[in-house]
Amino acid sequence: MLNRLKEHREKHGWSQGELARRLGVSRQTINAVETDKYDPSLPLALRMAKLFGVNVPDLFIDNWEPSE
Amino acid sequence: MMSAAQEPKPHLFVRLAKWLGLPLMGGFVFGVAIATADNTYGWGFDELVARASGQGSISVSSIVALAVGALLILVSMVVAAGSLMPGYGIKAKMFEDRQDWEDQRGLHLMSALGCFAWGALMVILALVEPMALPVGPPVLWSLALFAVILAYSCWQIVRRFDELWHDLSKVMCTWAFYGAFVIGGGWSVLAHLGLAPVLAPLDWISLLTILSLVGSIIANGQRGLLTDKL
Repeated sequence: MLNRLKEHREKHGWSQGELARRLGVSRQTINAVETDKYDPSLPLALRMAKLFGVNVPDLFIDNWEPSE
Repeated sequence: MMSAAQEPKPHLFVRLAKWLGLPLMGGFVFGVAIATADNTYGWGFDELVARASGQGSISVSSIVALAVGALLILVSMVVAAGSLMPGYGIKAKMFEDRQDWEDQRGLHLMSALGCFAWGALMVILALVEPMALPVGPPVLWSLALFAVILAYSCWQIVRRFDELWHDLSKVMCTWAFYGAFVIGGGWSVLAHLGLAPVLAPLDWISLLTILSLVGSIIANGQRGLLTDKL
């Protein structure tokens, strides 16, 4: 799933390691999310959104639309 | 307070003991381990070589188990080398950079330890089964030792897991389970019908080990985590 994690992280001036430390996950997880190789769990996505002060849909982009 | 520069140098004997102590102790422990292993398993390997030269036969189960064990030991050594030497680890693409090496070396070292213990277990089991290596205290103690090391490393690995690694582990286990179900189950059906030989206990251990390795590769590949390394 496309996301703006890197954009928000860089806006705050944090390295991947710093963000990982703040979220309590490994740097590999942050790297995998940023490079679109792993979709985080809902609790982690919520923590990321809370940390950056945005809503989850602002951080993770889903183009799915409900059918009629 | 004395600065580091003003601190008196330790006595020559103390410095020599520090310099030589660790290598000597390590060499002693390693030497005793090798001598014990040679005493216990040396003739098993001799017997293996003799049978491979045509003096007797070796079961396919043992050859497969030995090959799997040797592969695990080889993998463990490569991973251990990368975890201990950052230059090699980064060059071999086990780690992205020095920071990554510092973050992940503990996990990789425990993986190497677990992999080595698992490989050693496979080799011992392979030697016991066809070579009639007596299942006495030395073999049982060795198996127990490696089983404890394997359990300890697994515990340490799981402690270091975060949700990405838990996810990879789940995918790996799923592939291993369904693989065992299809291959082992299918083979057992054929064996029950008398159309194939019955799988020996050692075959099941080898099958589960191979499927765990394959599952691990698939799990990492599906996440695109291998593309940078190939």
